[in-house]
Amino acid sequence: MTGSRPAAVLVRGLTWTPLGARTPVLADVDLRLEPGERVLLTGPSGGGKSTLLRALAGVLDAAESGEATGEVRVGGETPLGGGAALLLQDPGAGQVAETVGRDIAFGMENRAVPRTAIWPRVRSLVGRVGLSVGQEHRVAALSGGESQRVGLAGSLASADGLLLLDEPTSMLDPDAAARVRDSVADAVADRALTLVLAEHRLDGWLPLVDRLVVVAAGRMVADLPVRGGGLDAHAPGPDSAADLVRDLTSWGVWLPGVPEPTPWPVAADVCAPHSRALVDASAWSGSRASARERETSSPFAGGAALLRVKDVAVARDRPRRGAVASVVHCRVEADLVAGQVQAVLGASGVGKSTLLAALAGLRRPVGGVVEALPPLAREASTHPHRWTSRQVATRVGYVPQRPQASVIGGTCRASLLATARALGRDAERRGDALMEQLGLGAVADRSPYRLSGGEARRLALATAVVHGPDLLLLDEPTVGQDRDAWAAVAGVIEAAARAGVAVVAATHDDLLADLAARRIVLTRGADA
Amino acid sequence: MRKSSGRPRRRSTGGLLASCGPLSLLGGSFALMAGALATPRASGLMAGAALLALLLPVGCGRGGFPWRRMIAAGLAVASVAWSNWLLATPHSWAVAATAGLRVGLFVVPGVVFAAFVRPAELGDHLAQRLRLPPRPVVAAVVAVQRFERLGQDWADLSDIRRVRGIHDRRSPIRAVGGFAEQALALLVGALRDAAQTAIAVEARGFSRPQRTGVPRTWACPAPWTATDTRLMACCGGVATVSVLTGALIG
Repeated sequence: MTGSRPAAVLVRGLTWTPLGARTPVLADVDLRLEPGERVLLTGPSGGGKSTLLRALAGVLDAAESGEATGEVRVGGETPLGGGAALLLQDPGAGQVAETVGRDIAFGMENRAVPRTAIWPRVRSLVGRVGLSVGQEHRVAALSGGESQRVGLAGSLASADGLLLLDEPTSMLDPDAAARVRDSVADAVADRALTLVLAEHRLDGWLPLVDRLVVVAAGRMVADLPVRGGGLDAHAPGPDSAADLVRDLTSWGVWLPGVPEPTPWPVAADVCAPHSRALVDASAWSGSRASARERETSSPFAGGAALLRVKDVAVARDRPRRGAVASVVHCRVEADLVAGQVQAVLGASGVGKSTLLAALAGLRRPVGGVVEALPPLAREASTHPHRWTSRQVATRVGYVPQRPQASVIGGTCRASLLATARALGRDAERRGDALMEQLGLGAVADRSPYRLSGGEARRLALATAVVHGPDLLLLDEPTVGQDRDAWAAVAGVIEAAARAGVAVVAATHDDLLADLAARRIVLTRGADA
Repeated sequence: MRKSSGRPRRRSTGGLLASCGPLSLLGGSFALMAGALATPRASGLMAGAALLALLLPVGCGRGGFPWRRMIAAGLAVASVAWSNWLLATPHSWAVAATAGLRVGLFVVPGVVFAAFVRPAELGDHLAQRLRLPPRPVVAAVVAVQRFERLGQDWADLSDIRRVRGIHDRRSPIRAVGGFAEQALALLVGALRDAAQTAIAVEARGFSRPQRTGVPRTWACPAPWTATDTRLMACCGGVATVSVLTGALIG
């Protein structure tokens, strides 16, 4: 970017304690970046990466009040917001205008870029981040992955000295992610920008950066040089290479070349469908059968088909005045089977979330079939969209793309158990076990809005499973998870399947898709 | 250049109103309001109403205006007419009709015109054409943008409550309780969103013009076009006709 000079960053003894929190989110952080340096910020989910980025952007107290001590300097000054461009983790939250073009242009307007220069740059950024929607597309109608790219384009457009990116590819398919990495590489190529990027998965990013900084539990625990796209193992001690890999892996960092994590073993009974417990109770009343015996003899273990979907067409959004709702056509034919994991794949914006919403009975299909088969429908309608709220909740657990959306209640535990309570099911023990498994034990009594992005998503998963639904519909369940958290999430998903739940996960995560018995690939086709 | 730039443009389909800028729409509403208030007798109001009944559908074009929105305007007019009938001694239909007509003459076109005002465009025009201070204008436009999303947020909340088993519609008492809970959740969510939006605008340099003293630019121009003049002329014409008719014909 012409005219901008890379900013030096200096953080000294930064401690940040949000109002009402007992422990600081950032504790005594020191960091010094030379102008034009590129840093990859990593560490366990909930460790304080996003908070540090907000501090560098000078917007630490824009969202919540709290107590900050220490010093932050960007380009020699205290950042006041607007010096650095920050791409937020939740891209939908960062939208400031009605249309894609205007949203990307916002930062340039504030930087006093003349009008004649704005639109050519918007056009080139739209191309560079690989957006296929037009500039007049409403931002409210974008998919998660599309919003993320609009946000990135907007950040690149307004970057001046310092570019801060919070998991910029978390909601993208591998192709789009590679493209986004290229456009970030482009933007920092001439070292006119200092870059700080928060990410769990280092693959693909390492060639772009000079340093790897690890933040865990609010503290900086490692600061390592990166050379030639790999970690410089010669830095600390003699047999440090192996130690380094071990340490990083223990902090949940996904290092390229390290074997992928495997799902943790999770007891199936904490994920078992409630309907099955009823069947089991009647079949085994009085007997002291082991859980394993029950598992193998249940009618659900045989893999009953629960829901049938065929060539379904669903309206993507609610139509607005004078506009026709865009309709997603999913040319798929699939039975969702008890005990099976199926992955829904496809480029971002293709309609994965919309399909999931239709399966959950939240949208009435405008064409095709979504039919609940007898083992799932039981006394209710065969059309999920006709179910009452209670009937939906009994049968379906759902993790929305924005996990905070599923929160009901003031603490994590209250939100977790709200559905079970409404259905009159006792799920406290299961809830505690799930929170423990998913590393949420320590935050159980905290406000669900105080969680990090990864924690919020894990809470949403626990919330979907805890009351024992027959069908689990997960929208990007592994986004923002470190290695350990990923293993826990995958463990819960596997356990649910083993217990007889039919699981459908919309995802870009190949590792998660590998767990699936079947892949449903959506393609952009006759999109009306 | 304007065509090739691909920037958001005014919708060109439909009637006259769709291609009008926000200032002429607001100005036209004011002209009609002034006319309605200044018209002395029922004859003038009737002349104005007849003209509007002719012009408004043409201005809207086909499918350009959701006529359902007229329900609220209709209620307003009816309640004014009714209270005038009630309070006049003796009860007089003529007084009621005149009062209703007077209010209707500016409320109805006001509601129609407002539907064609786009917040972003209004911001552009207020700041560039009327030279209002940009900072509050930009803040207001962003706020209205978020506000427009409340409908979607409400729908999302309904979805979550439905899938979580607490969207109970079986008894009216529970339905009301649920509605109140959901409204509270919407409010809390909106406040939380406002905080996020504050971060988002600041992270993209909202305060930069103030800090550096370099005024911000605007991605879209705020032109006053011939269509805007035509709309102002029409509204001024209707107002004049109703005032003159009222003054001349008893």
